[in-house]
Amino acid sequence: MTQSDAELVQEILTGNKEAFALLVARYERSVRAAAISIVKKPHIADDIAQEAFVRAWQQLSDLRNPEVFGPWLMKITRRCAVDSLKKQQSLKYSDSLDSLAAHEKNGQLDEKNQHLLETIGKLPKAEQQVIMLRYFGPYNVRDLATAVGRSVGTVTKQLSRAHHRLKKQLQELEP
Amino acid sequence: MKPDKNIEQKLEELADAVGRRDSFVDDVMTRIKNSPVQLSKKTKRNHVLRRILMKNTIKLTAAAVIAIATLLLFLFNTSSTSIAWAEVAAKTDSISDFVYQSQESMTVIGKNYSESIITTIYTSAEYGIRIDDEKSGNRTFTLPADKAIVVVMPSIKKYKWHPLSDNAIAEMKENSPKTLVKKYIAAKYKSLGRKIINGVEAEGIEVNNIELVKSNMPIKSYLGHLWIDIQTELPILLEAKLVGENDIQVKVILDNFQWNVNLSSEKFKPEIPKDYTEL
Repeated sequence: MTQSDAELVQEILTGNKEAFALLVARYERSVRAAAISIVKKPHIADDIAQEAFVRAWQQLSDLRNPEVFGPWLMKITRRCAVDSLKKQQSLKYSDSLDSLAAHEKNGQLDEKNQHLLETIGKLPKAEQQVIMLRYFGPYNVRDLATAVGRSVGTVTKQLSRAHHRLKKQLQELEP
Repeated sequence: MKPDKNIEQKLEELADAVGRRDSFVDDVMTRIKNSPVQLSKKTKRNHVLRRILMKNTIKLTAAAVIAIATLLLFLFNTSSTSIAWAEVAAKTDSISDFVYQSQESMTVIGKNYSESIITTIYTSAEYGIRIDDEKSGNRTFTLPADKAIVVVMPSIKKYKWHPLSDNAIAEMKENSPKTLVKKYIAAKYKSLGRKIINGVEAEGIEVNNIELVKSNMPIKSYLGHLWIDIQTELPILLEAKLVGENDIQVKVILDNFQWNVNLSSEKFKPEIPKDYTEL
């Protein structure tokens, strides 16, 4: 057991800035994955991930419930990614992310992984959130349920539905 | 509903492929340092109380600090016992009251970021558990008879009461160092031989099976040591080091054990002065 996100947030807000590094380490992969799922380009996604953490840092005192740091950070990441796409003039604000994301080949992820990540990006938001935090973040199902403010049963169902959708999507592509 | 194993595996492989970048944390912290917009100070004060509350919320799990050691050290279920160690396990298990100190620290490998919690823990089979936090001065009482957890916070003259569930009580018992020692000795271990610890000759064993470690984060490596005073045949030191895949390292040290002490009921009665108010 490690210090919870909420504890670390409180440490930071009361002056221990270095504790933020622990949150960065904890969520690096989730944030990067979320960014890649939207912008597709790892080098841009890395920059977006950094920017997301910087924004989170700057807005941390606005976070009313420190226990939801993970989901809150993922929202910031999505906003950063959207802003980045807008800057690239490849996104119209009202369009959905999946239809507007660039379709460039990824230099670091193989085709299957890239496709899986893109498919995750097309999941309903609630399912996308639990997948991102469960597999790329620091959560087990119980802690994830607490973090997103849902029951364990709900999160389990959302994960199950997400698994089913992903499986179906992947099967459609496989010969 | 059971998750689809194949999809789960693919997602885990994807997570590995997304991976981490060695200098990422440093890069972010540098950007933060150089950012013209810093963390708002206006609301910091409001967070002090929340921080204290959160600290104690964690303490309210009562066995949490102890559980760290449990989860990191001792959830082993393979068998390789010797008669001497079995006797140690039985002897430890027979003790009803004891006191020890727990020190947990968390760092990011290669960085200077760290957090630590030091507590003194009083355990009574009859009355429950009391945890004294050195830093905050807070005292947390886990009282199975009352099915309650009470936290007293002298620094802010507050107290907090929480119900203690049956599951939490069972978990608390499961995570007791006594249980830990028993499980540990029943596990597959390696002998560490003998050495002097704080002037006491001790004999140790080592475990490193990460498959049996429960943690919120994926585990990269794990190492646990148990040292026994060869005279008393009781534990004097438990150490564990766990490294997560995100390079977060957790170290737990349980020491300063006082086995078979007399702990009166008074020790487990939360004293709440009249001028304290409930959080």
